[in-house]
Amino acid sequence: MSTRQSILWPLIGHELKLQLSQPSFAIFFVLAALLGSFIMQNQPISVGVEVWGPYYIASSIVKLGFGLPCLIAFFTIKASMRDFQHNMVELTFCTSITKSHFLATRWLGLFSATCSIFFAFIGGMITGLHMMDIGAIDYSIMLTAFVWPSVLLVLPALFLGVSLFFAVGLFSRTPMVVYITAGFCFIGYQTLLMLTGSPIMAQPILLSETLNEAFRLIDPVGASAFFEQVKHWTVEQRNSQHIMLDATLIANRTFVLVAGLAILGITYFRFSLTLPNKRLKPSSKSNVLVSHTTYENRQVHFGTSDKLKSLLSLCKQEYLLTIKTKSFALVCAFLAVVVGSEVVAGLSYLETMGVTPLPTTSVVVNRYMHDVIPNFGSLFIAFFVAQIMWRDQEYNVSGLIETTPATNSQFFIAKWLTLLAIPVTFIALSITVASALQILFGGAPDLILNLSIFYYAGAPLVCLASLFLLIHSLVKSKVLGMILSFVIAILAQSNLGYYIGIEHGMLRFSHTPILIHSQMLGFDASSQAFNDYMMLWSSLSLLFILLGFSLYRRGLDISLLQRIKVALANNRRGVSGFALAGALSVVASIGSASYLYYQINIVGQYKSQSAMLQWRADYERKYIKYQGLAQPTVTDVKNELAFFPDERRLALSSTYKLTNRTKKPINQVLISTNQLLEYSNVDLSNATLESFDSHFKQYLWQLNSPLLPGQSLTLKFNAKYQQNGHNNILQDNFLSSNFSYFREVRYLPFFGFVKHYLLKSDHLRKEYGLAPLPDSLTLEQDIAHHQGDFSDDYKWVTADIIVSTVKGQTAIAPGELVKQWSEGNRDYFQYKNANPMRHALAYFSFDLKKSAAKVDGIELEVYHQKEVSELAQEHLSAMRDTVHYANKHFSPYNAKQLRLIQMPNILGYSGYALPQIMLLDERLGFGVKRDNLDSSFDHLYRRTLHETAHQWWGHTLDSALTEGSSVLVESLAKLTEVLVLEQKYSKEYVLTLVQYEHDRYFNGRGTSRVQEKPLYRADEKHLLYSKGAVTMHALVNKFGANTMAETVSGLLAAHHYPKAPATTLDFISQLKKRVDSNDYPFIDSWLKQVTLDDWQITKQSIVETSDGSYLANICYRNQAIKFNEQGEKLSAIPMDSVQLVFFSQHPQHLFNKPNNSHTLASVSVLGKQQEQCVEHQLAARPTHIALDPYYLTLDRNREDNLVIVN
Amino acid sequence: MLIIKKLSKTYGNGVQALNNINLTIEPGMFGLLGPNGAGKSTLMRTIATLQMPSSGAIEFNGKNVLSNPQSLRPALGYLPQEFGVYPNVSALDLLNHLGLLKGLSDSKARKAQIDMLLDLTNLSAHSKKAVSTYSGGMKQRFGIAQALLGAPKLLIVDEPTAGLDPQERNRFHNLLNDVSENTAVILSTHIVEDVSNLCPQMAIMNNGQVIKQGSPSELLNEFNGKLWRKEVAKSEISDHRQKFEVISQRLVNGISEIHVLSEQLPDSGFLPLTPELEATYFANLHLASNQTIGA
Ligand SMILES: Nc1ncnc2c1ncn2[C@@H]1O[C@H](COP(=O)(O)OP(=O)(O)OP(=O)(O)O)[C@@H](O)[C@H]1O
Ligand SMILES: [Mg+2]
Repeated sequence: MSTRQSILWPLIGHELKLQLSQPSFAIFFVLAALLGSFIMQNQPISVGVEVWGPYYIASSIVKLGFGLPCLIAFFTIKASMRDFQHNMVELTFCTSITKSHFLATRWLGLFSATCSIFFAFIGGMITGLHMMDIGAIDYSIMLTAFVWPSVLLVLPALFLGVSLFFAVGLFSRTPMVVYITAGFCFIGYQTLLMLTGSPIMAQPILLSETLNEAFRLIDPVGASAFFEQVKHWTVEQRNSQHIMLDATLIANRTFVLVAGLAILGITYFRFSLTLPNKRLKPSSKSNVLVSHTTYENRQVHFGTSDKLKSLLSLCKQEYLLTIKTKSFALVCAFLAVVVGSEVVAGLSYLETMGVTPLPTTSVVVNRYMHDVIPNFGSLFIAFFVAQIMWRDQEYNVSGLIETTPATNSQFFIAKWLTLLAIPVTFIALSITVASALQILFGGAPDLILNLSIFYYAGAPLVCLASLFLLIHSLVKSKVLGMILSFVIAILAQSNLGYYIGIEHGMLRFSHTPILIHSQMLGFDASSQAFNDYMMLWSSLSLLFILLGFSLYRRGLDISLLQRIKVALANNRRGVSGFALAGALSVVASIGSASYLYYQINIVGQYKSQSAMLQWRADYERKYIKYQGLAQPTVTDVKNELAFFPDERRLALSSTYKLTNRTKKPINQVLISTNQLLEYSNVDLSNATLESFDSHFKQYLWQLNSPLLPGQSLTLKFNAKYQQNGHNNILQDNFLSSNFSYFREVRYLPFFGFVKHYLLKSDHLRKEYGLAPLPDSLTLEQDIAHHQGDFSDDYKWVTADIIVSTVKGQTAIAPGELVKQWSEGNRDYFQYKNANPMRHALAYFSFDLKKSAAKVDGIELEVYHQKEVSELAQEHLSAMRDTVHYANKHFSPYNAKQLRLIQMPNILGYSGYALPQIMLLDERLGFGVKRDNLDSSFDHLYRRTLHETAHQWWGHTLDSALTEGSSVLVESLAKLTEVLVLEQKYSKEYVLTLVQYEHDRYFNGRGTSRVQEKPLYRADEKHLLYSKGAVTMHALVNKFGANTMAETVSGLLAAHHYPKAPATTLDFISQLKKRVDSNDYPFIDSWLKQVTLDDWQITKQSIVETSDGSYLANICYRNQAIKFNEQGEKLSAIPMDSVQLVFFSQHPQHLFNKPNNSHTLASVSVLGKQQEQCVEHQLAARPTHIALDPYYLTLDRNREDNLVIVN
Repeated sequence: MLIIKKLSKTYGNGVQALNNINLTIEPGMFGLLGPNGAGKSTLMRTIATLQMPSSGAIEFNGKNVLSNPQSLRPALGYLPQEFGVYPNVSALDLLNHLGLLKGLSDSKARKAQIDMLLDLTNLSAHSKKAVSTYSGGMKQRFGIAQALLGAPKLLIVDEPTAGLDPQERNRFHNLLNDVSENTAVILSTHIVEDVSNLCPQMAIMNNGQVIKQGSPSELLNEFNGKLWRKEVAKSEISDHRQKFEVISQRLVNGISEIHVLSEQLPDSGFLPLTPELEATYFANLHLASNQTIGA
């Protein structure tokens, strides 16, 4: 016993030394520390949730959960497999070491190594925090904030992870199995986070509450339990309160520890220190056989065909050892699962509430082509290249293989060809899996599109493989080569390089523009750029291949220098035209690099992010003096815009009428023109050009005589714009042969100091040497500042527009089409706008089908691909309903036409409203499956209705540019949704939407980092849209649709252009004018305060009475919290009323159908903090009793609103 | 003809494994004899183009092997002292593969030679089994077979008989003898007897240097009449070691016998040692180590 123990400690010491002294540990350690510091330093510093606060730190630590499997997997290889890898099994296993010592030391070594890396990360975070400029830190809170989640959340996860991977490693003895397990854990965890709506994920989906509960129990890191707990924490709580061990978290932590122990137990009982037995026993008889053969040598040949044969043999050998292996099959299975689940997700989810897409190949391909294949492909290729290049050394067969006359190029090319098989297999497999699923979902795979993936996804991988091969030819160790390969792969596939100054695409080998397939454009948006990049990468790859085989690491101890000497000697002997090929590839690389550089930097005017920021900071310094200078406003435009779709360019010639709408005379006009457009012939009437600043493209004009208020000037200019798709796709303009779109706001002249060039965040301003911006004014302050009139901000114009394009395409602009003609081989369209509209014009050219309808004399048009005509009709009907409703209840529509245009998905719109023109995404608007309308919500109708509503909210009522301005745009569009949906479907149908928005509000609240503002001053999306929708629904429910319609109609009448723009306070007063003053607190509670209810049924009893009816006695309370306009918590909370409803079935599917036989009774009850009780007589026995089932309050915990009667 | 000039090799860890080696090797068997760590394997790997020397030159049939390793490889057969094989690949498949790499592109000829080699190494019965499952001796025989594929003009075999049973060892010696008729065969070993039986030319290596080179008979003559033997009791050994130049000591029938190098009869207890290669080998090693100590 004692001797055994005395062995244990040295053993552990030895194991620790082994794990912690390996170079890769040092690398991981440093990287983890850097990552931790990096994560902290790149936090946006915001007012509200502090980065050093418990919530913030815990949520950053929790996000580490992703990385753990990969980290543990890496160290597991050493801990569990080194005896096998280094042929040490006999030596290790036959020592006196016992099983428990063996397992304990190895496990401890692994656990310590991974823990150390984790602590390095934490150390990095703390350092990072200190390098930030964040003012006072409360250290006692901060330290606990680091220690507590580490101990509570991460260490148990590490315990489970280490035990699991250790077992996998011990029993499989194959590194690949460990890596794949890591992959599965990584993907599986991500998928679960996504499906349970975790705020960690960018696009959470909520599947079912049961799944959420289950996941909260098993989540190894406890992230979901944590986020559940903090969901409703206020900002102060987030800065001071630590994670509490609530029941969910205790259950979860216990589960994780028990699972870890169970795995350890199984490992202990199943593992034994014995060798795998598979050695052949020679049969004795053959040994005595004596042969009389004599040795004869054979003629050897080294002609071309002979070389080809040996190349083939090498390929076959590589293929057998790499591709036809269990590891590779496992990788393929893994990939198939990932692609399969991606595709299924893509085909069964388009948006929330059950909306599914049409099963097109486009949908399918976009799920895996530009992320799954490149990411997995490059990582696995990096892995396999290392295997292939070091195999002969590892198996110790160099002595046999490398002394043969096969040439370096034969070896190298065989390896390269084998690697080629990897992406080809991956892609073929992905296509097969994806197409099978597509067919299962009723789609028809598009063969050509599928085949094109081989090029678009495969070519960059082949280039990467070529570079990896070269790297391994040059470096001295496999691990170093692998690390370099992974770094290059990560740089190519992600934007992480930005942080180490590698930003330009040409600096990231094998980087290409991301290709997203569009039903409308194919890959046209970026395919040219893709090809140009591939030209460069493939000519470089050719060079790499040539270098790779001439410097091929053949033999055991031949330095790079010696190999270079041999290569040069070979070259002098003129071996196989090497020099020629090399020279050609160098020329091709330089040529394609120059061309690509020209396209990106010259044509595309590439600027790095920091150059861009520097430019803005410099602009501010130089031009800030013009801020506040009175400047004229554009009031009339005459534009001639010519699209040249095939050349991806446009030319514009404009004449503006500039009017002095201020109350002061104007002497100087500063015109700022855009960088991307090439301006010429800029001319201002009655003025002299004082200076032109070519760096900032600023024209400063001195007026010959002052421009008095109300007077006008004429500005003329020409502008050209060329696009090539080599740089990022911009949302507001896109030029291609099939579809051109130009939304001019950002590109046309600005007058005076341009505010949107200002750097906003304090820390960026500090970095560029600028003083922080003054705090923005609150609504009330701003109103006082503007003396109640924001009219100066109006930018409204009348417009006369001529758009031209190539024959066969239609050109669109806002306004009435008054004339159309052809000239040469171009078509011209003239649009007139006699009524002023917001100066936000957009132009289009495309060859799309037009579907039209008319309502109240207004022409409704939808431009779409001809395949989706049926959906176009649905959009027309949504437009018709909304326009008709708004015409009747709000105000008459401002123009004679309203157009809706199908937009390519690559532009990233869902819906967007411009004056008289609406944009709708090709998928969300035109790729929707419509045969499941009874089980899904009609988002298609809702979205078009919403965008149509913006013709009033945004384009008729142009609200004052101050706090809450977006509420009058988005929340009023939500009000319109409620009103029109109630009309089209029913009051109950709207409840589905309200329920969804209610949950979305709380989700948004859970991740927001700032103190919630009351709705009337809100700007966060979950407030504008989601809280806006719930609020409007509650208001409609309370005051009726008519009152609400009259309110907004009154608002329009009082504030439309050119009358003074409205603020949210005007909306509130319009509403209050129309209701009883007793209801003012109700209105204020929704709009001016932040109210979080917590309704709860505390007791219930149902007694059958003698007459056969039932007497229900229900106790309940509302633990509401309320904040006033200033964000102060109110102590006295007024009573609220809410509905108490009795059901005879689970209300989950009933709540939106109030008049059904299972809804027994509904009573209105008043709630306060103290428990209250009511009695109610019922004819039938209820099974479920619910408080506020119709989502008329924002209830932060709805679980206790429902009781089941037993 | 293989000419090695001034070949030196120092490993990265500072060990000088080869020190100014000069050798000329003609067709026929060439034995390389030396204790563990003498540098035999290093020399052989260097000739076999698997390693680069730190300095020196190697020429094969007039071609510079170091700057153009490809000029030697078609004529090379090499059996490393230690080697591995790919997992789950049968002897037949591996020989086929190596045969193709060695230029045996004609499938008939290749098959015939592989069959013959399998037969010669007595592996025919196991040819379809994975080499990784072979016993130590079988694997060594496989190594021999692969070295002989094609038409080697220079065959380098590093301790080829290690692990072979006596029967297989004899068979292999015969085979080598056949091959060496028109091929230069370099064979390294610690077993003096093998060299004396097989090799018309030989060299003794120690500490990275060639300390003796010639035919076994030349080497034998060198110490003719200078080697003596004596049976001594255990207690006397250290005494004798101090007095005489003891080159080796061994047990004959359980009794210690020492061999001593001396111009005359050391003392009356000694008997002249009938010249044999092993004793000469030890004498050479003894002299070499004394030189190095003295130097
Ligand atoms: N790869 C290497 N790196 C460093 N030193 C090495 C390497 N290979 C051999 N050596 C050293 O070079 C010297 C010569 O070794 P070598 O293997 O050539 O001897 P050998 O004569 O073949 O010995 P043996 O009879 O034991 O096979 C030894 O000291 C050895 O430690
Ligand atoms: Mg050796």
